[in-house]
Amino acid sequence: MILLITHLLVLFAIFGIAALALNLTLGWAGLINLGFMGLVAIGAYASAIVTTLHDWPMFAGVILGMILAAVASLLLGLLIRSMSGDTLAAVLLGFNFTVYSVGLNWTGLTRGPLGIPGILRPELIREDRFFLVLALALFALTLLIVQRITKSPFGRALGAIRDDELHARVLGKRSFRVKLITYVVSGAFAGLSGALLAHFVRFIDPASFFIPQLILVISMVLVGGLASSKGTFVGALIMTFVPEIVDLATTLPSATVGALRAIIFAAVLLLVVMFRPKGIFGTVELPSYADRD
Amino acid sequence: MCMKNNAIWWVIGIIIVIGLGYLVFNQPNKQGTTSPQPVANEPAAPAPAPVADNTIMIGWMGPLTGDAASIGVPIQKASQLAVDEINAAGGIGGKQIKLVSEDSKCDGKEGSTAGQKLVSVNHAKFVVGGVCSGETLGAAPIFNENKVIDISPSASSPDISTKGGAYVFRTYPSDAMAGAVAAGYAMQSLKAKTAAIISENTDYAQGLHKVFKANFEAAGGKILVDEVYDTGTTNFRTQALKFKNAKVDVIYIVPQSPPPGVAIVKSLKDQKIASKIISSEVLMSDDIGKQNASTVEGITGTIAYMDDKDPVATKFMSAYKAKYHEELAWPIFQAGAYTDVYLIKDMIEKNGMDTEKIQAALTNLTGWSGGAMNNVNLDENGDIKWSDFSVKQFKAGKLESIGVFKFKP
Amino acid sequence: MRWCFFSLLVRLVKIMDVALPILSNILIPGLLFAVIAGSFSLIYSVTRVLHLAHGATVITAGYAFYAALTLWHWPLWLAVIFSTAVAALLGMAINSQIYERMRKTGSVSIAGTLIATISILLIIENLLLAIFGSDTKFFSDLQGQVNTFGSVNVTDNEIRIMIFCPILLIILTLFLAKTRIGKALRAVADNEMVAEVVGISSRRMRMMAFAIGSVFAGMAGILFAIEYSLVPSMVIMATIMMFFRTILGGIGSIGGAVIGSLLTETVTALTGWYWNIGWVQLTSFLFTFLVLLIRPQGLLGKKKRSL
Repeated sequence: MILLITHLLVLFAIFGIAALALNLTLGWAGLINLGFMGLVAIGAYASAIVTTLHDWPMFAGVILGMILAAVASLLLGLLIRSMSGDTLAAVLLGFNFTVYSVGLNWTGLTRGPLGIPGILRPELIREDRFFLVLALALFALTLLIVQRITKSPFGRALGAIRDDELHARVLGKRSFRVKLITYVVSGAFAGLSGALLAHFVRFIDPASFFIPQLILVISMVLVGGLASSKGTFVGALIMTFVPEIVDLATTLPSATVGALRAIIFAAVLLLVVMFRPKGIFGTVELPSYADRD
Repeated sequence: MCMKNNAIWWVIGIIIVIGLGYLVFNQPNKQGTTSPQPVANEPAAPAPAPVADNTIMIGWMGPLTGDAASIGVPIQKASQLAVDEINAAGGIGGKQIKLVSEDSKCDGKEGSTAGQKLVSVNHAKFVVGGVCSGETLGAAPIFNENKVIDISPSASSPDISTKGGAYVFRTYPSDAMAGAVAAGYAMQSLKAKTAAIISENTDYAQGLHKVFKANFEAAGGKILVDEVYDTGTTNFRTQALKFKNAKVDVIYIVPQSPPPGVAIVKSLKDQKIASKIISSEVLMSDDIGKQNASTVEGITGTIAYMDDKDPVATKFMSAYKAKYHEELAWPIFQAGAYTDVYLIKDMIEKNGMDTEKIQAALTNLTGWSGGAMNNVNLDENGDIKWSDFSVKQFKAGKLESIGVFKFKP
Repeated sequence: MRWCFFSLLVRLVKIMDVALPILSNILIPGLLFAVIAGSFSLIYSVTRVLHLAHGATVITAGYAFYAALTLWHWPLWLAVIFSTAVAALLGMAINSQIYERMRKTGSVSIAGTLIATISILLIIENLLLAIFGSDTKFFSDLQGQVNTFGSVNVTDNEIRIMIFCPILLIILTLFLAKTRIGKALRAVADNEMVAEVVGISSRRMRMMAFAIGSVFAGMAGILFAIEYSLVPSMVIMATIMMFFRTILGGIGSIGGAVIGSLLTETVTALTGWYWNIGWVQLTSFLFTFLVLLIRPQGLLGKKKRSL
């Protein structure tokens, strides 16, 4: 039992980092980044590939993952500059699909659907509980950094841009620059989360970073509340543990258990989005694009 | 006011972390299957005994759901039969054994998770499985790290010889042989000069694909079309058209599980292709012949040779039929799964629960007989030494042997 | 001169030998997706909701068909009616219980509905998984025998697809152009406010769009299931494919959906033929992206006012 809780806590911390990163773009920058999982995947694969196939140390792999994900996020930000509405949503979602597709087909690099097994986990953190310490520490660090960003003048400018870009620009805020910086930071943390996941689970494949995981992370952010770090903390806690509790409380054939867990995530998210789109601690509405003809 | 709110949450957060740290660091090292406490000067602890004292846990891993379940489930039943027989005869050294089965869905990632579960949660020191190569390779690092003996009755990827690790063994021959036999059959018996290959994007299929290609080309044949499809593809029209257009002598199909294999054959026949179709062992079952008689008519394929007149084999097959009231869908895999349990039993009886000792004993094992097999020899990679392969053909829904080929290295 | 002409003719015939089968390869999935993407576009244009769960409707109809035919041994005509009805009810239920409710509570934004529809997609996929299992369901008998027309070999089912789908599309177009309801739907699609002013209940029209769209999805779903077999993971795959074909052609335009589907299938077929089947998906994504970069509203889409 303790083993299970430790395992879940690590997942909570790792996905918590991802959720904080998503909250930066979704809650504070007001960008519905459905391609988010693609960034996580880049961080994960980067670290996995260099540590497994090229014998880099884990530390270096994780840093590389963060850098690559941040760069990808930057490029994505540049690409979507003039897009809005449904095309924007499509392109962002498409980014996720593209990363998935590349992961699946560029077998020379990623081994395709075979995935990368036996990912390095240094002796020191081989046991789950030691990894947990690392994961929690990084989560706390991320939380700290995100808080500093959002409570600073930079964060306030970001909020202003999100709420009313036109007026913010009139007042002199360089909206595009601010958004780009946010995307980069968000991307870096997404990469961190991905790399940690790779080293924890020790096996990744393209399907590890697709729609079900996207739903999971979005739920954490929405349930907790947009633009609220403590909301994300709580949201991550809920989404990691509630399905397990339901799992343990019922006795079902193991074949349906996986399906049930996914249904719970999706159902919770659906209910939140329908009835309480601000989430538990949120102060902000979901982004909505005004141009409908 | 804002600051106070924030501070409270920080305090709560820190308390949680401290509390967790206490919980996590203060619990006695119960499981002992992950690496031991990093104490500076003491040597590493030996592989500890399993938790429950009077039951020996034997893990089993394979596809129990999904398209490959038609292969995995019968294999699991064969292992269970062995476990039941052993328990009825008094168990191992007086202790009963329990088969703990995990569904690894013929997938590498699920294999990794299943292996982790068997080792950490069920404390198994011995595992029969996986059924598929991908799941075996996925779980292999975990077995090796934790010194858990793993014997697979059917995983055939050549990669397992090299990447499987010291603790992974198999009682089914590597595709390094099967691919060569298929290529040899194509060139010599079918007099083929050109071939097309279609294979699924999995460890097993790609391993076999590479071997067939290498052997066929080395003997002077030409591969005109080489298609690799992703798991889950159900529409093979384009490939069938390409193959037809290429007018090859032979088409070699390597699906991971029966359903796409049958779909491919159907697409090929729909296009009225004249080429001969050779399949990997995935389609070589009477069950498949029964359900898809007209589609698979005339298809040939290779599978490791099993002498089903051998007394130990017939004894096993009758026991299976008596217990489960069904024919054996995959006699050779099932015989292997049955035998693997007996092999583990024998190893425990001779060496106790010391898996390091057993690992040494199994490597280069010679002349072992038991279960449903005679004269089992394992090489230095943990692979079974084997050289006989059957070539079978579907005729009116039943598999008929059209020859036994010896693999010559 | 005559020699030139003759050799050209021979070349042409040779090309046709290859081109016609490739054409059939394009038409079969192309027409099928044209119906699916077209109905998706219909729903979007009237309701402004990106009802991605539409892909789930298609596959659910397939599974309903499987249940009726293979599990309960109902006669074929009953199974077809049943599956179409299931699809329609599913679409309408999703609309009334989820999208309309979100409109009432004021939480219908692009982001909100996208998240809602993706969640619905996941829920349906996993329900299908839990109920029917993860093994592939085939409909071999219904695929029918192979018919040869020169160099083209098509099964009975494939002929069905190539005949029914265009008919469905024609019916849809005529319906929208000529009938009263069709015109009302187009009115709401054009300008909801003005439509309301002239007395059209946009709420009723939205429900109508979902009903009609889902019926078409259901029929396509049956043909899809027979042709491509059923496995729960197809829900997401089919949705992604539908989505990309729609945005290529321009969301909200049925003609665009048709063109988008056929064009994508052409790229797919040519990539598969000249290159390798593994790169097909990526190439069609990239092609779609390129087009969107040049023309963000899709090939036949209406230009939107930018922020």
